[in-house]
Amino acid sequence: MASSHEESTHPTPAVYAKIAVTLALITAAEVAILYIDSLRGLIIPIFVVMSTIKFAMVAMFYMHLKFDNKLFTLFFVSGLALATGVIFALLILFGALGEGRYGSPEVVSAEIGHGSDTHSTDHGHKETSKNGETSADHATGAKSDHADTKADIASKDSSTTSTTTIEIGTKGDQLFFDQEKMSGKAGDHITVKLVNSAGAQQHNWVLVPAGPARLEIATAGMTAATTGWVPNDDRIVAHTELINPGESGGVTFQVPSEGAYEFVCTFPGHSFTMFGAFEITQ
Amino acid sequence: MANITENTGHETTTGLDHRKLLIWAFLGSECMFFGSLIATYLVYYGQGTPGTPTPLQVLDIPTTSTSTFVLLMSSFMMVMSYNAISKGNVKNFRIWIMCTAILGATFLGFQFYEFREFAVHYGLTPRTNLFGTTFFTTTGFHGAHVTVGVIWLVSLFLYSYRGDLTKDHGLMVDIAALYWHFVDVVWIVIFTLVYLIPVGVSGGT
Repeated sequence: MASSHEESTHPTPAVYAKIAVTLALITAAEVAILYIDSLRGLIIPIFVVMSTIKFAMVAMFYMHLKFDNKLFTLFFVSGLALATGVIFALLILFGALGEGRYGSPEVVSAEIGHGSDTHSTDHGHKETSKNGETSADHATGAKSDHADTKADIASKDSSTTSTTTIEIGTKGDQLFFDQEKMSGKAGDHITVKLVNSAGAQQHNWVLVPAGPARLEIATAGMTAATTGWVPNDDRIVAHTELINPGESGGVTFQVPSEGAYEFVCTFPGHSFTMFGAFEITQ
Repeated sequence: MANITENTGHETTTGLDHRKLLIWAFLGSECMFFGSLIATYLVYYGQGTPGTPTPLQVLDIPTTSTSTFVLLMSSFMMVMSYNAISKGNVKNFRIWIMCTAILGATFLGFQFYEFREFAVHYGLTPRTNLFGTTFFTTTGFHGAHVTVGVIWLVSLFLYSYRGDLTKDHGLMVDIAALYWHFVDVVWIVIFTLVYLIPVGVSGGT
């Protein structure tokens, strides 16, 4: 029954001590590297390698995996591999491996351009049945730009005044808007046009009061499938329809005279990353 | 020399003690548990509500490096206590395992200080923003693991006074040690992914 020879092959206290010193030195080196500006660009690979070495030393020697039955290693490494897979899968899914994610966030102000007359009409028609219909249309890929078609159908109150159109997009397939900050002049009628550049995701653009309202409205929206995930909530200032991938659509509304606002995509699960500040200028 | 794993009085088909297999299967699943917590932290990194504390404002690398060092050294103490018991030296075992527990408690003290600093000084709580939520959940669960570990180690220390913790019972210490080292390696990963890399990449020193 005594098939392995664990104890006789286990390292001596001197080996354990050497490992302890090495672990301490690597940790000290990691902290030192933080303060070396010239290594800034290589910091991720350096830290990953250094912590992997520390991890492996503890697992192999302190946890005796190097000397024990390989079945133990299999159990542990399987869990480790799955965990690593989960981390990478989530990072890729949420676009967190993209450029600049860990740098200081670049705040891009909304570019305000004067919309042409054809864009100055209202797209913000809140027709739920229409919504369902158009979604079905687009599932077949038959129509390419429903926003403009809708615009023709849905022109109403703001047709008399010339409005400003602000465009906002998505970061491709990532669950982010391409702007973290937008602004509008108090009292103005403006059109916000959402250009959905995603390949598969539907998005909307909902303007809500800043603070807890964003999360509350997004949570309520999770059960509002029939209204394009937009809940019936008086606090919502304006919202676009649910925009299909590759398409665009807008909403025209009067900018509130004061207060702090945020915009958010209320498609279930998107609100955690797809939001930004809407600033009101005087 | 007697093999402690197999000197426990029952035969198994693999020739390995089931308790030891169990702890490894458990640790494998713990990898996935912490993996998902860390992934969530990374995914939501930099997604805090504007105007709330950011990682760069609150993370204190010098303090956390010190607590990391403390935890690494506790692993060394742990392996020394295992070494002592497997040689039948109960006296040394008690010294080393008590040192391990004290260092573990010291680590918890650092974490308590850090959490308190975040909450009182910076107003960062799990409810403040996504950073607070994911940070406190990840490091908090690790702290809970350390707490369980400290209780486990102190229990073994007390148990040794009953006089029946001999070298034949090395497996009891072995299993506790594996858990303790695991908590240590998880911290190695958390320290790198939660503290060092985000701060390093952003030039936050």
